[in-house]
Amino acid sequence: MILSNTEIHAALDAGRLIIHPQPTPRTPTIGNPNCPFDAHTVDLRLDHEICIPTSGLFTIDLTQPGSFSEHLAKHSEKRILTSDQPYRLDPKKFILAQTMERVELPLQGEPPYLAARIEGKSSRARCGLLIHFTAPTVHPGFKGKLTLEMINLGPAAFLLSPGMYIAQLIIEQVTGQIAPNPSQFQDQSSPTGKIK
Amino acid sequence: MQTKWLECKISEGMFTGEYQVVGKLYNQTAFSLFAEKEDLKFEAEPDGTPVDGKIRVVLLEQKEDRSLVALPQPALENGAYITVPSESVAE
Repeated sequence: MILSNTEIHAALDAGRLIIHPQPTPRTPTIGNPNCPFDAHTVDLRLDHEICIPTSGLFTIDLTQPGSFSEHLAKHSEKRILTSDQPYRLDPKKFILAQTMERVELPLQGEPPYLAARIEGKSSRARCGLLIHFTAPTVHPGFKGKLTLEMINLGPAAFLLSPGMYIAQLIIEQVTGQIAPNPSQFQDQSSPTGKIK
Repeated sequence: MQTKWLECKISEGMFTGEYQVVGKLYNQTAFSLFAEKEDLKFEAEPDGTPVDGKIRVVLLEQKEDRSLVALPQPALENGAYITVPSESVAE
């Protein structure tokens, strides 16, 4: 079940959904028509920092043992954006970015709990900008800024400025109890499997 | 389920405010993930060199020298549930 904007407001008020800083205003007014809440979504903004993967003579092989995070961090470059110095995302280029807002979907209290999906915005999509292309799911219990995998598939460069509305979050209710269940690892022998 | 702390090495992450965490599985291969500061314990901020630290985990099962734990975020190589040496898990 997808939450409507009023249900999103209620979840924020009850602490079942935490977005910090909390998006405002909740409803558009004459003085402030830019409301981040739509019928069943809430818009999130682009943070100041992006991460630009660097190319090189290496191949990513997840089947090999080793620290994948070390590889990712080593082969990337951080860049701080300002309104005066936006980032020009050229066609076919890929970067990582984050939302300015920190999202938390607490597992405390009684179910039902919440999950979410991050999606792009149609105005950006029309320019060919993907803000995520494979990992939209925000699991119950998640907390943190949302990482965006951005690629420009359009014919023209796209300027990315901090604070611009870049994504929208859809909040969903998860039915049933959620619990880490060791029994699901029964009969597995991998490092992630159940201990026999 | 109990919250415990798992030994790891901590470095700067890909973004300010996140940290790169590397640890050892029971079979001595590495797991790694990016985590928030509130899920980590360390004394000195990493500055180009990994520092010793601990990451918050939920202990799901323990048998002899092996412990099955849940990480706060999925490891990039193995997912959220990993088996680690029991000696690397502490209160």
